[in-house]
Amino acid sequence: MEKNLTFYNVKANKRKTDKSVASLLFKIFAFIILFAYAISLILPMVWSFVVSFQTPETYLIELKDQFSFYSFSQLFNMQNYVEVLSYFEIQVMAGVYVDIGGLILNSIMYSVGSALFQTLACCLMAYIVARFNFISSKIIYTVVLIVMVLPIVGALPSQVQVLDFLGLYDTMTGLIILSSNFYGIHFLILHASFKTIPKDFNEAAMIDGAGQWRIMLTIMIPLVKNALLTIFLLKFIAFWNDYQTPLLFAKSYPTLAYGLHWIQNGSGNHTDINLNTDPHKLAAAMLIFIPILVLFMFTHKRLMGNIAAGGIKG
Amino acid sequence: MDNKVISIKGNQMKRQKYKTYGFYLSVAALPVLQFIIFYICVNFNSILLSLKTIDPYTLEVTGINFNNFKAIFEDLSAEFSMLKDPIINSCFAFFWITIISLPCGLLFSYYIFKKMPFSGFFKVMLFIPSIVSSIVMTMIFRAVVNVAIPSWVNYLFGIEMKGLLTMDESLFGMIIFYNIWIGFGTQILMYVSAMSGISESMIEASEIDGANVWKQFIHVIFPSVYQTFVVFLTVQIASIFINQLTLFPFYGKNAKGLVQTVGYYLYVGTQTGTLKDYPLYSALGILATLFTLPLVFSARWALNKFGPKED
Repeated sequence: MEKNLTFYNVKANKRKTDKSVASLLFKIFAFIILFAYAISLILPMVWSFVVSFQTPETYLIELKDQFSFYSFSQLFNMQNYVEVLSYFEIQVMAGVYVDIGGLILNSIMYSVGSALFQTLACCLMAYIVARFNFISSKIIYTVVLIVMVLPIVGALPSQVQVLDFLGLYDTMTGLIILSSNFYGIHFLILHASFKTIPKDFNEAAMIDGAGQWRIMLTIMIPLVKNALLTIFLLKFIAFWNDYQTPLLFAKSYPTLAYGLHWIQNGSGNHTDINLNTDPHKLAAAMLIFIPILVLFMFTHKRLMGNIAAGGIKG
Repeated sequence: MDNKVISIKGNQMKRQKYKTYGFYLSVAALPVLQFIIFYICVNFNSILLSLKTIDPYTLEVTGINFNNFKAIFEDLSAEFSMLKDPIINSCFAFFWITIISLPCGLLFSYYIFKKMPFSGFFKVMLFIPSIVSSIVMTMIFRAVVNVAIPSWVNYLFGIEMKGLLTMDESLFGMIIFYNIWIGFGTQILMYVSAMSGISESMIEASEIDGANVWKQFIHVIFPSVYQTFVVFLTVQIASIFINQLTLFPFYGKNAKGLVQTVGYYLYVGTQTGTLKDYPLYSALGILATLFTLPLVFSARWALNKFGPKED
């Protein structure tokens, strides 16, 4: 009887926690803010998507006379997209232009190459530091932690000089090598993943005659392939969207994001077609945004789940 | 006989050990070389560069001295300083972004962690700006704030309004708002991850004791994710003078002085400058690093000493 009473008390207290005024207030308050946030994000994106299909003339008329957001009349008129894809090009030096095909190719080379080599560097270093109990492993781990909190400001001029000295300035190879560092949060996530694999796995494989390379490539790396794929995807998205690094270190290899920066600033137009209008600019923005959005739709559980599983603690 | 067996075994072990060392070295060689060249050498070169004086015409080094540091201090004490605005803006931006985005990030994460209505949808929405190119986001934001909002306000209320990013009075505020608006993604993921690591029994015990969500947040959740909070705050402090406030995608090389930050000033300077300008930027970078370094470590020390303890 007494036990039942305690049980009911516990239940009642739990209900009280869920339904108290303070809890309700929190729920309503947070919901309103988050809802407003979501609307503030969705509305501009939908508006931009709609405008990207409008002709520049209709766009200007609608801005003056109507509530432009409700104009779906020209949805899926692909004229702006066709014009951006056909006529947009960037001048990289006197008389040398890179068209949209070149921009896409550079984007793919930069984002795939850099994401691949950076993930690989992170994975290899995390593996040896986590699995081999050497003094050097401890030093590398400490260096990674220090580098993460050390606020180095203004190393860009020096980076330009060093790349130039090595003959790698303004080359795609230089850009990829510069990006292929191993330090950062993803090293720590992979390190934690490798650390959790029992030592018995190594010992059993060694008894079976496997060498270190075989153990790493056929046993250990497959065990963390989910985390690796997630990190690769995150890095790919980051490099795909990056325009500052190519702009500074490889001006002859403009990427799509770099091209968009040109369009936004009214450049990149060398024909009679005027690409310097809001609908054209937004059509170009959608061309970069949509592939990433599609990729995110298919991978958001992986992107937001696996990385969280590794999260930072301590 | 026994000695021979031991010696063979010893040799085998030695060979195994060397093989392991060889493997370790071959795996580490390239990443470590990359680190030595692009981190250690780059930063060492940055120090050397800051001490050089370069002739603007011949681009030859004419002296090794502290002239660049002197020039920075002279600029800071001059009436029309180039650097004062970027430094003040960097500090203001850090203050407002930290004071708004850190608590909001924590509360939003708690909402998502408690699986309150539409938490999954909100989690995705908060993360989306992290995967969209800043160029795309700024382009959309600029079009909406400068064109769409004034047009909607005019349509709905008949009020003529200028673009919010074109007026000096609202410019810095809008830039800060934009940076807060797009900056929740990683925070939310990390906090929710840290919150999901809190033991169920601890949360249940607080609920049994009748703690409402606020009390549960203050006494159970926040102390448990405090270390993650410290990491975020430390990173924010470390990036005071690195943060470019996404000014480049907004304005390219032409951002107005009243919104420029040190990070932006250095990036644009490097992008548009030549070898003769680099020593000054390197010196500014070194001074900024020297200023931030003790700030980061003392903040971390204070946060750990005086912050809530998990137990």
